[in-house]
Parts: sequence; structure tokens; C-alpha cells
Amino acid sequence: MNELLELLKDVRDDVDFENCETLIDDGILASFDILQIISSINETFDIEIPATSIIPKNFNSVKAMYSMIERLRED
Amino acid sequence: MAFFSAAFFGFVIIFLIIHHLAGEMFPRYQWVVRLLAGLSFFTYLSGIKIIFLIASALTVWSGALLIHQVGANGRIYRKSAGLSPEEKKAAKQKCRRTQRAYAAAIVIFNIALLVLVKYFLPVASHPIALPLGISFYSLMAVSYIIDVYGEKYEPQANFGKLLLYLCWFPQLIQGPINRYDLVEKDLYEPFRLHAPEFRYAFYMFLFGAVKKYALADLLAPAVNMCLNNNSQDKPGAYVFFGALLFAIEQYADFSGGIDMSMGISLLFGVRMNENFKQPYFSDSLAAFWRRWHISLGSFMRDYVFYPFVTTKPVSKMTKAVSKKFGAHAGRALTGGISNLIVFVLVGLWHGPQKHYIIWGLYNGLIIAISDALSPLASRINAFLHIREDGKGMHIFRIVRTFLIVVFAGYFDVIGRVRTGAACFINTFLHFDLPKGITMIGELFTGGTVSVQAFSAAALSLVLLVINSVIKERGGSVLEPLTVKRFYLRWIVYFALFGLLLYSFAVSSGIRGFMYAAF
Repeated sequence: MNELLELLKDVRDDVDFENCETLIDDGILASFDILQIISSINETFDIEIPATSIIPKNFNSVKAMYSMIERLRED
Repeated sequence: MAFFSAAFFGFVIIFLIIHHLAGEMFPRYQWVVRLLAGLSFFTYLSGIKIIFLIASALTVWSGALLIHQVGANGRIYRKSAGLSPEEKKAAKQKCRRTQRAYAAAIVIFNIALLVLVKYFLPVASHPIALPLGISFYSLMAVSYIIDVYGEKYEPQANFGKLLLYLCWFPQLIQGPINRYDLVEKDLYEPFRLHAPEFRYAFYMFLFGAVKKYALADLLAPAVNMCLNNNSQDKPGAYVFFGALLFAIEQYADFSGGIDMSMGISLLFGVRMNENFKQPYFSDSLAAFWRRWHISLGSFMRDYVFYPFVTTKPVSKMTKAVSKKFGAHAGRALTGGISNLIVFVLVGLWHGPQKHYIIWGLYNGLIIAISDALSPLASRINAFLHIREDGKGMHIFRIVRTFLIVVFAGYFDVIGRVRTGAACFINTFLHFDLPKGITMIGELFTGGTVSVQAFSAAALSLVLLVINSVIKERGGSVLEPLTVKRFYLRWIVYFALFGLLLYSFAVSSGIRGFMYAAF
């Protein structure tokens, strides 16, 4: 989880990732940010996030992103 | 059938009555009335071309069920005893491959149909000859099949219901490109119209009509005079004035039309997807595209941008560039290229003409470059002690974004790229304000714009700006109007209706919706 938080801070240092639950719904993260986040997650956690997983539900909060990573790791 | 015509009002009233009666008597089948409304509307305007709609609906309906079934069979197989983890993994991959092949085939079929009808068949020379709403419902069909493939939701088993999703009549003229999961409930569930919803819908329709007929249509003649294929020798001030008016006209036309569609749809209980969010208050071009024609932008993001950047070669490229030049470089390069592709596609979606491609490249390049340079811009701002979150900076950014959009108008309205480029250059090198003002004055004296039409448009613009500022500040224009005392409500209705009637009287002619041609 901390690894993920650090990675997110690298992408955008102006966002309160710990507490925000509406990163996508409120338009805080733009598509370029998501692209960078996906690339970093893939690299750090050695997974491949498919395009079909890029839905608001999976990216609205750190928790959501983390559980998506866990799911993809299991596969 | 225009939106503001006796025929259309008659159509809506008849179906509203049937819809209400069906809701009282057979609430479970009330959706069938919505489907019949959609099919009648389509057939009335496009006749036999309804076969294109049926073909799309049949492919995505059966395809989605098939994809779902393949997935379910795969899961059952993987649960059977005696499989090693490797075998399970292999079986899952094989299952996904099969599903992907079906999804791809259906997407290709639907896009090919759209491209064929829109760009290659001779009927495309005259936009009205297109099957109604094909540019919108084809994309909806594609989003549906990809979402089912991505297991975002279960497929719709009832063909009639899926057909209704694609041919819901208010969306057929100019969108929005509704997402299945967001409208599904409203489309199929029973609905009873109550007074507050009626007022809400009525005001939405009325204000949309003011935007369209008392603003956009009144500005159109002036825009056409200022910006056309012979504008290359006109002073910069004059073409810039035209582009400013066009920015207002286009927003009023498109968002006004969408408001009218949404209002009509609400009368039947269907809340369609949001398409505009005060786009001219955006502080960057990227933000503008998240607030203008939202349903097209989000379609492109979810079904072109993300799938493209997650393909193996592209994600490898991001990785390699990130390693060598830093994470921001990787993102800027991949994002920039993908964004260019997206905007060229958005341009082509508007039409196969060269000027739309230039318009797409213009938008795509500006967004790509501004993302690439954003770290540098931050450093410069820090060096100059400019507060990035200050109010002054915010206003500066809004004005800058608006101007970027205004300049894009040259390549949008003017059919000839060379003329558009000349106008662009003239705006900077040959502004010639005195001559520009004289020519703008001639728009009035020469009879292009009457003083009455101009006054009505100016009044509508003021109303639109007030409306937008209230919304931008998080307030609601509709809420107070639907609950406040009835006399206040009626004053507003009468004022808007009066403005509308006045504008019909002074207008040089009612025009079709710009986006109905796309």
C-alpha cells in the first residue's frame, strides 16, 4: 500500500491520495495521469492492467487501486 | 421534423399520453411504448434505412450474449476437478481469446457500417440521407459490446430492450452518446410523471430552445458572413469577431439542442448522460474537452485512448522512454501520440474533410505539448513567484483556453484549409482594427444582422452567462424554479417564451442542428 502511495505521489504531488475517494468521479486525475499511474503500477507490481480494468470504480481511491492490483496478481 | 414544430409537439404529446396510460395499466411493459416512440421517430425520418439500426442492434445483442456465454462456460470448465493451475490459466486465456475475437468482429462490423454509410456511400453527400443518429448509436453499440466483454455489466437478454437503448428518440438527433449502465434503469423501469419533474423538463426544454433559436440561429448569418471560403483577404479583426460569434453560436446550438433533447427525455423518465459542463470556464484545453461534448470525449478516452496505451508495443514504449528520460517523458510521449490519434478520429467523426483533420491535429497537439511542458511551466512560475493556484492565474488560464478554442473555429467553420490558415495568420499579423470595425458595422447596415435580432441574441447571451455562472458556482437554476411560488415560475416561463417568439419573428430562418449533420 505504501509503495502504491509513493508511486502516486510521484505522478501528482498536489493530490491528497490518502483521503480522496473520488479521484475519477471529481475529475482530479486526468487521462494522462492515469496513463502514468498504470505504467508505474505495471512496472512496480509486475502486472499488466488491461484496458477493461480502467474504470472509475478501480481508480477512485488508493484502496480501490490496491484491491485491483491484488485481484490482477491472483490471476 | 424540427424540434420546435407542430409535428414534433404532436408526436411527443401523443406518445406521452400513451406512455402515461401504459404506465397505469401495464407498468411492466411501459418501456415498449418508449421503444415504439423510438422506432416511429426513426422510421418517420429515415424510412427503410432502419435496417442499419436493426443490423447494429442484432449484432451487439446476440454478440454480447455469446461473449457472456463463452465466459460462463469457461468458468464452469475451470471449476471442474483435476485441473492443474497451469491448465486453468491456459483455459482462461483461451476463453478470453475467443471472447476477444467475437467482440472485435462485432466492433469492426459496426464501425465499418458507420464508415461505409457516412463516408463512402453516395448518400453521404447529403447529410440528411444518413440513417438517423448513426454517428451516435453506432458508438453506443460499440461501448456496449466492449463493456460486456470487459465484464462491466451483464448483457441485456431482451432484444427489444437493447433496441430501445440504441433508438431512444431524444438521443437520435445529436446524442448524447449514452452509456448503457447509466440509462438502463430509466429506460426499462416504469415511470410516472409528477409536477416537479414536468417543470424541470419543461424549463430545460424552454431554456435549450432559447439558446438554439434566440441565440445560435440569430448569430448564424453573421458568422457565415465573417467566416467562409473567401475570408482569406479579410482583416484579422473581422474574422476574429466571426470566430468569437461562432464560439457562442456553436455552444448555444449544440448545448441548447442537447438541453431540449434531455428535457423531452425527462418527460418519459429517462435521464440521459451529461454532455456539457460550462465548458468555457475550463482552465486548459484538456479540461475543456472533459466539459464539452462529454459523451464523445469519454467514449474516446475509454474505448480508444486507454485500449491503445495499454497495448503491448505502446506500453513497452512508455516503459523504455520512462526509464531513459524519466516518468514524465514516458507519459508525455505516449499520451501525446495517443491523444493526437484520438483527436484526428474526433475530427474524422465530424466528417472526412481535410479541415477537420487539421482541426483535430490542432487540438491534439496543443494538449500534448502543454502536458509535455507542464513541469517546465511550473518551474518558470516558481521562478517568477507566480502562484499557480491564485485567482489571477485562474482567470488568465480561462481566457487563454477560450482563445485557443476560438482559433480552432477557423478550421472548423471554414471548409478550405488554406483559407482557415490565412485567417489564422491574419488574426496575428493583419488585425487592422479600424477596417475590421467598419466591416462589422456593415453587417448591421448591410442587412445581415438586424438590430432586433442582435438585441434578442444579446439578451439571450446575458441569460446564458448568468445561468452558467450560477451553475459553475455550484448553484442550481432549475431547483429554485421548480419549487418557488408559482407566479415567479410563470414570469420566467412567459419571459423565455416571449423571447423565443420574438426571435422567431426577427430571425432570418430556422436552421437545423449543427450536430445533426455529423
